[in-house]
Amino acid sequence: MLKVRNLWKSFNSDTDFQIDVFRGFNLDIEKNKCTAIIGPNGCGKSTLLNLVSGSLPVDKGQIILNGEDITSLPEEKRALKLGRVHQSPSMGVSPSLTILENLSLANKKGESFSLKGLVKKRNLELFISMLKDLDLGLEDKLHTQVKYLSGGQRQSLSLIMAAMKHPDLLLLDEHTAALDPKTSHVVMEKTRELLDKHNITTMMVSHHMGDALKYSQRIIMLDKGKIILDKPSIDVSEKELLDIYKAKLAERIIA
Amino acid sequence: MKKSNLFKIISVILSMVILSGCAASGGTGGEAPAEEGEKFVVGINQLAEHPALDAARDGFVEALEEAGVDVEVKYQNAQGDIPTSLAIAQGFVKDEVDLIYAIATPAAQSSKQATSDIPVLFSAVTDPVASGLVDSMESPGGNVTGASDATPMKEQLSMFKQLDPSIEQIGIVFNTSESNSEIQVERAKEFADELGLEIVAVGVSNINEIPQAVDSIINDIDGLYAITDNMVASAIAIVADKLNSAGIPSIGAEGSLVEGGLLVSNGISYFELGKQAGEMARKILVDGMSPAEIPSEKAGTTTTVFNQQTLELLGLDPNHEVFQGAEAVGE
Amino acid sequence: MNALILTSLEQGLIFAVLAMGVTITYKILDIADLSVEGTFPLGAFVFAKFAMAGFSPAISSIFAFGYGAVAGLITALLFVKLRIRPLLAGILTMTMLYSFNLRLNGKANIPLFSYDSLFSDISAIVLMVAVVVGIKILMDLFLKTEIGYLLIATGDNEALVRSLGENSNKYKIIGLMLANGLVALSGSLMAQYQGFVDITMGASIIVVALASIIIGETVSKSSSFLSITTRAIIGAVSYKLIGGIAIDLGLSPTDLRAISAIIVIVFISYNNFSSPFIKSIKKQGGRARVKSKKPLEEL
Repeated sequence: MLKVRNLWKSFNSDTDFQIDVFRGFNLDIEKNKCTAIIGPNGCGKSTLLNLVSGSLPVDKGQIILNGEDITSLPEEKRALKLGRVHQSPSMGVSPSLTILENLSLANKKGESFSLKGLVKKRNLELFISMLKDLDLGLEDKLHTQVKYLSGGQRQSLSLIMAAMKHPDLLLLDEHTAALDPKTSHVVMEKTRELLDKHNITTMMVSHHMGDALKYSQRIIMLDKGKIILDKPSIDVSEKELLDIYKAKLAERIIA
Repeated sequence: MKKSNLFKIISVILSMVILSGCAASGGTGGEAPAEEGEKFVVGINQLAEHPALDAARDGFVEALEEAGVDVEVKYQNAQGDIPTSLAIAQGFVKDEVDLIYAIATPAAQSSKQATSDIPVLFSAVTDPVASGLVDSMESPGGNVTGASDATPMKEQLSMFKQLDPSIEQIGIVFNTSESNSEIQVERAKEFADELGLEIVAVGVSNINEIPQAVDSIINDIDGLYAITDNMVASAIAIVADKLNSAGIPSIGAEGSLVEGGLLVSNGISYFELGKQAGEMARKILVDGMSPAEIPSEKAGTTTTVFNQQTLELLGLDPNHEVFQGAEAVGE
Repeated sequence: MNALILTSLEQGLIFAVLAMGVTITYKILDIADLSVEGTFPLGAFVFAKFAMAGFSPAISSIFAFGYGAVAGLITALLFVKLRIRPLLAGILTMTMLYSFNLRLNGKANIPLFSYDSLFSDISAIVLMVAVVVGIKILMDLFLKTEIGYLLIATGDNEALVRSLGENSNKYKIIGLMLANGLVALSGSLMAQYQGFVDITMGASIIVVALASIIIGETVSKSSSFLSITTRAIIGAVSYKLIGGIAIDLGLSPTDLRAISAIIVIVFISYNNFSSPFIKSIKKQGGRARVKSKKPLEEL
């Protein structure tokens, strides 16, 4: 589904502060599965997501989605095939608009925007059933401005909005990192339900090893732009991950 | 700071401002004490605070006093804001004043817009016809007439040739935002042709640009003519400095510019201009004439003044005919 | 007093058009667009040009709107294409417009007494109410369209707009064009109302616009049933009414500017303090609780 080929990316090139994140990186993500990407800070996992989404341009290499080379497509064009949930609950929604208005906007993704009215009565049932699935009571708050919702509610809404049009690939960018443990759990459960229900190919960057294992089918650990672990999630234990982690940290301190 | 305290402070400041405001406007209005049998109410719509405009106002009031006309004066100043001068004019109309005296072009235009019945007298308007205030100077043809501050420019420019027949290039610095200035520059160019002079004009939109503007032409000019322009008037000292250092003679359209350092002026007095308007007011109020019957006037008298120091700096002969009978300032 | 209130209302409604325009850039798109100081007189000068060329006041006013939209396009292109900061882009456009305005008719002051205006045959208040209501309705409708919502989203969260596959720059351009079109229209209306055009018309116009918006915001701050356009209208009219009262009270106009500033400060402080005010009452309850020595569990 997603192929990353010979990816090179550096920051601050040609200065004293040049950081080489990826040097000839390769990755294959399978269809209909959730692949978790974890690793210590600076390993490149967020950068990878940004390169796939188009927020950052590649230096060299190719990104191929569903057989199509999207490397030179600008971010907003790629967005038509992707869905993304950011870490910050405010980044996936329009805070001054209501839940209904936000959903209406997300519903129009991929279509052309005109001078017709946005909010259509005929979509109401669909939206209400989507919100009901979340089981958060949001279906009663259709006309509440999103800025009044809690972080967890906003992330859940962002999730629906990102997945609504059945994207080829869903990018989850540490999407529960800013939530408290309880809410984080709720959102992760909702995420799993959504992914299972619609079989969405997902790339999930996570800072939380437990969640990464629990909610994915395949786990990849990065370090300094290289894959140091790539296994089915059921074959890995949290302890194993932790050990590798600590070893890597130790390496850094010594180095 | 506690919120309640902040509110108290704000209320106190507001009250102080309001009270001082009432006191101030009461003082500058020159209101005559309210008496029985009060004859006329005159509303003064002044565009901005400015020595020339203030003088035009004072002259007007004095003329009426000298003529023994019984007036109550309502003075309002728009602080340069046109919508405010319009509101002031409309306020006077509502108050049914007997006459509106508007000082400066936008104030006059606002007053004309506000009423076609109440007589409107203007002063400090350079070209009443171009400003749409009157049909012609001789037959104003409406409810508006007044005294124009158009300077005796031809006489002033010809002084250059009197000083030195070889003078040809004359520089003019002007504020592009003042319509009166554009009009004067055009007039200067017309007269220049007749007098064998050539005008080098440079426009500025900000007072900070004036020194550079002078620098940009100083090597090309034989003399500089300063028109009646509020911005240039404010910066006249530095303009004069540069000219005098470069030995370039300068002529000002009005006396205050000479006090600021220019060489000589054969100009009008805004105070006298205000008095002319005051006399016209008397005709309207007391004699019952209508504005349409009273031709608009230009400044009746001119005075020649020269700057003693500048004269000496430029090494000119004080006995030259240009300076005969002239007043010396700046000794 | 009546006539002064009427004048203030009329001028307030003319400035309401200005305020609705600036609402689009300042409130919705969150862009500080200073070019309005040039676009407002632009509308006036364009009106003069076409009116003197023989066009009807209605057509001339529409031309004013059009030129204003083009000015907005220039500002937008400066910062979208050339990456110049919005604040600077606005100032650059304003500076260019100064010369353009002067060149349009070759004069800095143009009397319009002998030309028809929209106010010639209708009373000013009736016309202005009709114009303002008309513009308000159009704007409210627009903000409910798909494009209108994307405009709002652009000001809220550009990342969202991009995630929908749309280019947020396109909507900034639309917003700036609409806003400046309205500002220029307001300028043309003011020219017709006062009977002449003057290059100084734009000075401090941004203060009028922002003060109107801020005053409008204060009015039932948390009530969402007052739409953004209604607030702009209320703000502009209130601003002019307060000014009118000040003139009527005989205040020395030197103080008028200070008073305008103080009014804005008072309104902003009220805005900022009204919530904590309520909160402080709750706090006093909290303090009472903490003073008690009861163990936490009981609380």
